[in-house]
Amino acid sequence: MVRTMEPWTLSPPESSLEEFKGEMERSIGAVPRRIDADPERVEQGLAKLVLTLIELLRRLLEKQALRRIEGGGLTPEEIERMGLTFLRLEEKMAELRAHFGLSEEDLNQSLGPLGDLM
Amino acid sequence: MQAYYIYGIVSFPPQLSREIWGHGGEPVCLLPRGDLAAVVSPSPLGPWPPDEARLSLHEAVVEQVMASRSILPVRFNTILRTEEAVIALLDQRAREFRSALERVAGKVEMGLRVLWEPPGEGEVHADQEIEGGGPGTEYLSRRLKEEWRRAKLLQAGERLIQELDAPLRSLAVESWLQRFPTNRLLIAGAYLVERPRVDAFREGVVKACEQFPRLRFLLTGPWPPYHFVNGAHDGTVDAFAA
Repeated sequence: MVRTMEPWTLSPPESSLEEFKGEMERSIGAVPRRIDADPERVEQGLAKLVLTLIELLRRLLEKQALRRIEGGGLTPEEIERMGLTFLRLEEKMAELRAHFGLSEEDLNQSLGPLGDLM
Repeated sequence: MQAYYIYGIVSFPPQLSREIWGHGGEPVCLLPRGDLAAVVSPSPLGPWPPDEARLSLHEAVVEQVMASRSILPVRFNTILRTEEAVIALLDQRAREFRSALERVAGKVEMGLRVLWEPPGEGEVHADQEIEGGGPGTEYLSRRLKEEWRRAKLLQAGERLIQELDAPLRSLAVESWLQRFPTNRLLIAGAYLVERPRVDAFREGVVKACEQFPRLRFLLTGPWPPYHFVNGAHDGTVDAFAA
């Protein structure tokens, strides 16, 4: 096959070409995919969707809490109480993820660019 | 049934300057309409399997056309039922195709990816500590530190991106940058460069390599102007979806 305008690569050492390949594959993995409609795995697909949404809300609320702490408007007791709530919520999420055989990374990837915004 | 596989859209005339072979070994030709033409080859209506050989063939056809003129690349497996459907498409979208062709006329795309080593844990210090408290406070304090760390990291990355991008942008007509696609990838970028300035652009990247010895660069191209086709990144409906 004739390639008329041969792509020209600023040849980095071979090792780093492999690194580029790995990172590019990861960045493709970060693009949200379709829900897995395989009947055997539909439960996991749905759980992933729902847990991703909950994770999104959890992170948003946590962000808001951090902003309020930075703003200095909270008493130490309020901070402790809020912190405990988020801590337990995170533990609960870990349990649910484990139950459905999902990793933290799975949910992160489903969030795609949204996850980076937060 | 005889349908048409579309590789791209070009201005017309001239005719193709050489023989090009498309999917299924069929000859690639132009279906002209007014001052536009579709680059097509006869094809069955069913989609071609998206394997490496077929994808490279699609790309090779686009590049062979691109060697002598500007082309708007069309998505893999865009197949229209009849010659009339192709002509109708050129009619319906003539204005958009013309302005898109004008935008990329005489230009090619150069792809640039840069890897960096994000500053490690020890190099970022928290500005503020939350005093005392139980496990809840400790949890939020940890989260806050993680956030500061990420913010500083992005700041450092952003500074690098600015320094890198400014000289390259001055050698290009337009640029499209994706920042931090992964933790290690600083940018994945595309630059629209006038053909005569391609070498100057490459030299610009070589200079950046020397200036930033800790970064790794991957420069590819010239490519068809994938990132600079109107509508490619603004979420408009796929022209051919219907």
